[in-house]
Amino acid sequence: MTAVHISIRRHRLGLLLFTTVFALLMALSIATPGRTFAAEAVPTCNPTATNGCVNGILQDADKKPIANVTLKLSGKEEATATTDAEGKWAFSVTADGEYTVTMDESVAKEHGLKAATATVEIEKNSFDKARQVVRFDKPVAASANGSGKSGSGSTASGAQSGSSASSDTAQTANGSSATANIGKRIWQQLFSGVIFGLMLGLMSVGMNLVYGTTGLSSFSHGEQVTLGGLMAYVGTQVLHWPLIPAAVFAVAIGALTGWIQNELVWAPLRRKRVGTMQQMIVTIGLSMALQYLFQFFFGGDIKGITKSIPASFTIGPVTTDAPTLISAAIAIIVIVGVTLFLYRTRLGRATRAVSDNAALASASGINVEQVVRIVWILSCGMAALSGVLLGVYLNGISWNTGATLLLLMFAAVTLGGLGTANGALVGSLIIGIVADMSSLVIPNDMRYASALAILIIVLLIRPQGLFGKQQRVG
Amino acid sequence: MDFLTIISNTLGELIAPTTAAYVLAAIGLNIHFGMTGLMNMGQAGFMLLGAYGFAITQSMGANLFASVCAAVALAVIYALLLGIPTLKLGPDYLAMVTLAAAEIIRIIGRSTAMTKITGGSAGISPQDFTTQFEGTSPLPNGSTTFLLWTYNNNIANSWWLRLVAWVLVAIAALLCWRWFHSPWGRVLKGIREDENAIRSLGKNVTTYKMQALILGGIFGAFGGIIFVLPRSVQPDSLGRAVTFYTWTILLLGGAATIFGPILGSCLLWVLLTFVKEIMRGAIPDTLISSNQVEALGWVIVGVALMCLVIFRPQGLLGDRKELAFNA
Repeated sequence: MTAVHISIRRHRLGLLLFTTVFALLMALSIATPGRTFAAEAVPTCNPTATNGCVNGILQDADKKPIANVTLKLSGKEEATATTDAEGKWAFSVTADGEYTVTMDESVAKEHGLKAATATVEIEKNSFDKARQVVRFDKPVAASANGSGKSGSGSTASGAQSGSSASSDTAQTANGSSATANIGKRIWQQLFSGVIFGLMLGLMSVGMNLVYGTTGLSSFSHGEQVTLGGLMAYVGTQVLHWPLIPAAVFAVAIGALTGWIQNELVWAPLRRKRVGTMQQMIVTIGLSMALQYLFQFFFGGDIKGITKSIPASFTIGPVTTDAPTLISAAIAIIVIVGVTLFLYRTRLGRATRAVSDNAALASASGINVEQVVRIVWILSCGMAALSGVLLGVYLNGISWNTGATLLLLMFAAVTLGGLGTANGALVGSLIIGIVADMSSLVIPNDMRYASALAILIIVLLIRPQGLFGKQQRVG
Repeated sequence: MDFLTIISNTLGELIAPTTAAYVLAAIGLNIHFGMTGLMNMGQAGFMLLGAYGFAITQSMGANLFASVCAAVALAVIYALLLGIPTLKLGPDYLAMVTLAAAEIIRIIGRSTAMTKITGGSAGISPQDFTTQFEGTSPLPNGSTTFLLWTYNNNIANSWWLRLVAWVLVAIAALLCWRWFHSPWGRVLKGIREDENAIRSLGKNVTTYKMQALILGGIFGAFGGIIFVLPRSVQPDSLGRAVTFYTWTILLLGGAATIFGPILGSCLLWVLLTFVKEIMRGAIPDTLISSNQVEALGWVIVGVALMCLVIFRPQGLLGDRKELAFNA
């Protein structure tokens, strides 16, 4: 009796607290145990701290929406939903785990769908797994046996289709199917690691250029990435532009913010000879302010840049889709371009000279401020581009996407060697590959920890990084 | 808009356990940064470890003293692990490593693989670790109203917790005052100002830095314990943002001062709550939702941090000449 009384009071006090101080912090965390909500069908689903999303757009083979189809969700939680006029459907779920979405076999046949069931894995706190888009245009690996999709039958075939259904929603093949053979998984993880590493490379090369020329490790670089993704979202979804102009718009805005913040904040601080540590704390403040401005304007959910789900195909042992490959190609082209710029042009040489020794560069007639300005513009533009690519690759971007990647950027930059542009790229690739490959051995939600562990080990063994010059640090 | 509620909610922050927890964390950071010039960007890691050390041993049935010892021990080990590789390197490195390490702790703590020990992302719920603490309370059961505030005497967000928290703060401030004015504290200040000068005097700089890192970390661990006692141990509520809040508090009050952290924490939370309450009351919900008010609160903190560092790096109480960012 008393126990019940206490727990109720505790709950009430907790609620009071919730509304006063820490609503946000609490909201970021998970519902307390004991509060369980079942899955439910909703018109549109936005992943939050307490719920994940299983959703999709049901289209026939000609990409026409199919309305009024009943879809059944099974797995950790159960519910049914009906597709609306645009073929859209969504489930909001509360438990992490595998979910299977099933429709009537006859409906699937009638519309030329290759499968009537698909399985996805939901993980509320992973920004790429909180929402899973389900598709039915891929054949179920081990054949859909029987039409009665109930009980164990559905879970069996669900597990089979798991690997194919979830692998096309970027880098989510991780650990979803125990049955897939290990060799294929290694290749798939390696592939997604390389893609992720390339995008990380775009971010960290820019970050490292800023560090090289000004000595500032910018904590707000993650927000520049988010900005790029969100601006692309504004372009495609709010202004209804095609993807490419929207991406150009995003990069332009990103570059513009780089220029503006250099003029307004960093150049005056440098003139006042404010120390780099002090500037670093300013970037922390900027990062907080920007991050929550994004949340203020765009809300806490994931914003999809493109609505359509690309068709996936298989190359060798790897399943992928066209946007992923195009994103990777763009990333490679830009990185190669920046490298050429640094090594083949006068301005690039000047940049490297400033990186080496700003005072000496200045003495030999290089306009250091001009170089730093260009570096800021370049770096923020690249961050914005990587945000766009990441948003396309991960099927969406949210207000804190960049912030979650910030530490990986730091890890990549430190691994490659602070201030060395090419080092950052190699560092990023290693970090990307390790982060994705490590999920083969350690739990998936710990994979970023492995990347950060690399950072610490590198500092222990080789503090100047892989490509840094041997020098006394500290 | 009920003005009295706003006032009492706002002033309630003045004595809230969370405010005290931040004071303790900021005092720890003050030892790191204010006294020694160490850029610890992972104070939340110390707090989370302290909270885990306390809560896990409590839920396993250890007594209160043992649990506090466990929390302190974890913080000491963590400080050693962080300090050994990085204290010899430049300040950038310590900043990045502490930040990354705090994040690693959070990621591991919330991992589903650790659910049995840490409760995963859902964390450890209060009934598992607060009963003993509440049991030690000498106060009678029931709730008491003092001036504007009514809280339960013993349970959860209670008067007892407030009492313990602020007594801890007083002890910590007293210790800091002793340390700041001791020969040991002078060496630390010397390290902050010019490491090589101290080295040339024959002092082992790395050892002193390590001592400072450990001591500050212990205060962080205490802050973590106080932080989780009125709620549950949730790894995500002790993330990077907490570190940044702590920095804002320290720089607001003034680094390298005794009362800086206390003033900073009280002021920050009171002002922040006041602004948020006013916004909630004055701006209709259709225009700016409650979530957006929260977000705006963070924006204010971020901008405040930027402005502080640019325009008044010594904070409210600090001495500009004394505070040199160790660049």
